[in-house]
Amino acid sequence: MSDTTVDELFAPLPKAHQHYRALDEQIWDGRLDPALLEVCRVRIAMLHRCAPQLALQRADIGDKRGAIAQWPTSPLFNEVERAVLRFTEQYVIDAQGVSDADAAGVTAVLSGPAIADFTIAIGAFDAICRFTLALDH
Amino acid sequence: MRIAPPDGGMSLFDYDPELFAAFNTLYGTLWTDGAVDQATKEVGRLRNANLVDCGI
Repeated sequence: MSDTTVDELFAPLPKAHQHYRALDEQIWDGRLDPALLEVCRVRIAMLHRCAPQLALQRADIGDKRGAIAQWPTSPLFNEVERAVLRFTEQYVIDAQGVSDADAAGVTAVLSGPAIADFTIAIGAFDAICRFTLALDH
Repeated sequence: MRIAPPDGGMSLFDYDPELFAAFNTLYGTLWTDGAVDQATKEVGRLRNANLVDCGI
């Protein structure tokens, strides 16, 4: 993976960098479908207009990559992807505004362990975009 | 709580303690390592919690 921007930004904090990498490896180790993670990661990068993260490809999602902004209506996205993208968008734009319906949408399509993994993953993706945008200028 | 923890757990994240531990290791390092003192970090943490209206 080419993620040099994050590596450069973490350079002054080698211990934190090491632990971030360990977390990132676990997020992507297959405990949750990498393609599902990737649509969320790309959507988060789009919402933040985070060019370094948009340039990355962490998993193959085919034509979905170019259609993520149209996820509510695009036939490329299934019920699971729509539920996690709905939650992800609300989390990024206004976490306090995540509704019971948003949460219920996720619990309807993911198991408890998968929801735990998904929640930590989108938290990390969101944080890395904010961190990158604040410091990479 | 919208998503119940597993039996014997305290939070949703107890469904995957290995991943939660990796998160907490990073979080703890951010608190204890680096050039900024913890009081200054706490000011930032509280301001962030205030902005997103997080009562926890």
